[in-house]
Amino acid sequence: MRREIAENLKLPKDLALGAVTVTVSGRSEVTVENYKGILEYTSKKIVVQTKGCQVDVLGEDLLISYYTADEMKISGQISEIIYC
Amino acid sequence: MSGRFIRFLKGYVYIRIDSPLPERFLNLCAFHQILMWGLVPNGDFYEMYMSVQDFFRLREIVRKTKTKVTVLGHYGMPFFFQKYRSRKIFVISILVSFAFIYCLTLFIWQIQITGLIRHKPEEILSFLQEEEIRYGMRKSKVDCEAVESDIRERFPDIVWVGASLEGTNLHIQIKENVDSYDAQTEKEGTADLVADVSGTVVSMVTRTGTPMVAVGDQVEKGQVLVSGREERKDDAGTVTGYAEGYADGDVTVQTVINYRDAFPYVHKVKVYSKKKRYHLTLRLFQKEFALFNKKPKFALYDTDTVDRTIVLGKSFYLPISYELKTMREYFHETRQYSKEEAKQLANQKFRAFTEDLKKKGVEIIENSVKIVLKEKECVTSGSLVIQQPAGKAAPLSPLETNPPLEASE
Repeated sequence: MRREIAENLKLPKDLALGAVTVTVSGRSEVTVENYKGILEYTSKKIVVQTKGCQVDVLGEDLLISYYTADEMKISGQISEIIYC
Repeated sequence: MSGRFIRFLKGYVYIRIDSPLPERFLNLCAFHQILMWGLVPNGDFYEMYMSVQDFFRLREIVRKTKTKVTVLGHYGMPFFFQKYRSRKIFVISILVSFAFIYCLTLFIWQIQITGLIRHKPEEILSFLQEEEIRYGMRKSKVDCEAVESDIRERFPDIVWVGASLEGTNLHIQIKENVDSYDAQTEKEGTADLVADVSGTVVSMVTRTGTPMVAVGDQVEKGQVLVSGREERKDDAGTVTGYAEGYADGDVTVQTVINYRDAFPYVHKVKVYSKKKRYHLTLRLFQKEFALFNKKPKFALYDTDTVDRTIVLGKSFYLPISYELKTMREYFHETRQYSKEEAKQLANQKFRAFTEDLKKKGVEIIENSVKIVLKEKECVTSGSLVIQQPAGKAAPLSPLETNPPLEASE
């Protein structure tokens, strides 16, 4: 129902559905918006809980450059991004 | 950049958290709008930066998540002041000096004028002074465009002016129109072209006026070459009157000049002893303070002067300058040129003389100058046949011929 309204009104999905926005720059930087919180944080894996799913960022030497309620930036050597 | 500056102003800490539920701790922080940056997992711990304000809001979160927080470092202005709280005067003087330097940047401490050929910098400076543009004035009161147009208005031969403020320096770039200067200032009114040297005319081009001599004529210094008076004739060829103007033309005259230069082999040279004296004059806001101004006790000495304005970076001139005079003692010592040296020196002197002539537009046609090494002196003598431009403006000569017909009737 909500999806249909959003599609008909052509609203941005991240606003209407609360969909996660993942912006990847090269393989060293990922910006994640619209999430609920962190489930796991190690230098090899960061798991972020979003409204519909979990986003796993895998890699080496991962670190969170900044972390606020709206946005986080992950830097490091990124190898995989998994939605589950 | 501004974010980092604000963090520095407010102060921030580098902390380590040791928690059984680190993710919960991070989520709670995010929920309470606590900004974290530089978050690094370090084995079982996590390390991060946080503002001091946010750090004091952690108490509740720490209690909920049973976290142990260790402060590893503290940075920023509040900690800087705390560190130096026992040295208040030191901190205050740093702040005062920053404020003082900032105040200095609001004024003009240097007026630089470039590109002048005919005009002198003093002329432009005194004009600027009349226009209330002076050393030490507020930068905000300088209207560069007005300065440009004022200078152009006052000096018509200046065709382009660029005024710009660079730091505390008012840079005025000027381009003069040299051609129009000649036409406007020198070629008005009436004048004859008279010879300024004696010799034989070898070439002649008359632009305005009546030629009074021809190629091959012998002319004397002061003789009229081109008259500014032109005859007006009627159809029958009778002179009816004269038009007076400014005679103009190029006349080249060939002449012979003698050159003689002699110098003895024995001569005096300066030998510097290692003794030096310094005079230092400090100038603050155009007021002079003489430091170390003792007169040297040397009989003979040379003075080198260095005058410098203190500049921070490229164009931040300060109202502080100094003049350093170095006085070096010397003695005269008698030496003798070898014949080879004397010949070289004579050659050098003669070359300088001919270079000078060339600069004046003189062409050397024949050269019979010889160097003779005599017993006690070196003599360079001989004659040079030269061709040189002759002709300078002089007041119109009085009419010698019969008065014009109109006047007689």
